[in-house]
Amino acid sequence: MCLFVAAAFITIALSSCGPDENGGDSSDTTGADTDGMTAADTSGADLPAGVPSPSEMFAFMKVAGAKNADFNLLNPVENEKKYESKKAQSLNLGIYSADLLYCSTFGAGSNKVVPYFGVCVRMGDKLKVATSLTEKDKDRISKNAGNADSLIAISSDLYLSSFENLEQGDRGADLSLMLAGGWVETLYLMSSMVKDFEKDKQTAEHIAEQKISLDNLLEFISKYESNENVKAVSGDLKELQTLFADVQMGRSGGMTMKNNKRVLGGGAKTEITKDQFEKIKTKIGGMRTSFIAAQ
Amino acid sequence: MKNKLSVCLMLAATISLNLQVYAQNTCISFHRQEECNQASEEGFIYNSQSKSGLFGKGTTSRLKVVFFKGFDYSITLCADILLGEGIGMVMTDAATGEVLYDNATDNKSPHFEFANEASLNAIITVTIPGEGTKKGKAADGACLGILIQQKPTPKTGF
Repeated sequence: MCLFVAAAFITIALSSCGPDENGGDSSDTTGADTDGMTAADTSGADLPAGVPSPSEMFAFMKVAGAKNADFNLLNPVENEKKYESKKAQSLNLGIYSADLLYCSTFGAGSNKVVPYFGVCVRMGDKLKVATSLTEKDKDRISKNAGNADSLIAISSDLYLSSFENLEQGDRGADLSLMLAGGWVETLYLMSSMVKDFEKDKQTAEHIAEQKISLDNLLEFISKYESNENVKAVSGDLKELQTLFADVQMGRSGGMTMKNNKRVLGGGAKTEITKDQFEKIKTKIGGMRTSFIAAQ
Repeated sequence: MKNKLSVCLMLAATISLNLQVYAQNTCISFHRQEECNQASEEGFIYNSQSKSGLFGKGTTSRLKVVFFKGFDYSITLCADILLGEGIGMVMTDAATGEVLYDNATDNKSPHFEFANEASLNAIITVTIPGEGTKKGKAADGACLGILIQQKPTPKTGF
């Protein structure tokens, strides 16, 4: 009897994974989304919005020639022991991951990278994120201390490992908080690279372009707003989004061919005023302070 | 009897839910396979916005991706053989809806590259040809991944 009921349920469950009678809605997926981390079924649901990793955001800044990295701004490793709640741990795993990637991208050296690597591994353990990397990877870092590309690759592996383990475990709320923590820390460190707005205007413009990654972050975490912690963080990020709304981003000029290579855009200019930048920087600083003070 | 039935229903529901989660999770890292990499030259590194999912014939799905200026991007569709050939891939500007790339004009190629000179949010729309399975029959879903890779655009000239 029990086996029969179970078999019936499984059959129904499997058949519900298939496209609908009309071959699935192949023309209109607008507004469709998933509760999980993958397309929840095969009926044409959208994949979760992509959120660039701190590593990709820092690389964007570095390519643009951003300078003034200040490693004194990082969340001190000593704060690790304060983070007892799942919320604090998830947010600060994101923050420490961003700190680690900042160190490796802007050449802090292994004396800074190793402690932050250790914190990320331990925070991952606390959150039961079974990362594929362990403490022994510290040796890899020491051996590659002079090789910036290797340090970035190892640090990125650690971040992606945490990300994918939360994704596979269907832990959307924890992942949302980790992403938010990492994104806010990245913006905090980026905005601190603007010492003089006029001199560092190009860096400020690159920060302004994070308007689009914020849109995606909010779209991603909106699926998990039934979680109170996610909802609170989302509320803060929406306030930040209203500040970014005033930033003017130039539109891409479409895809063209140049020297047998596809080229997208060109001539698009992003405009941000000093006042807009200061408001954004202040808001990010406030969020970051509350994140690292969470317990 | 009622209690037994309730236990059976709960057990069955748990098993079926886990089966669905398992089916989705088996696809999560599909784009990570070595064979998915079709980048034309060395130096491209993995972009964390790459995603995989469970897809069925006759369906359309979208992935929203941030592309930063100053980088070359390589986009590759990597699909289970069960999904067949001729999978559609269209990239549009999320803000304007302008079509930036359509593989219908590129022999249905599962791969393309571009140098990006303007940061933007784009939507990659993937369409699996064919008809879906009728309700009541076993699902014909299979894994499909969108592998995104990037590298700084090489500087040219003086």
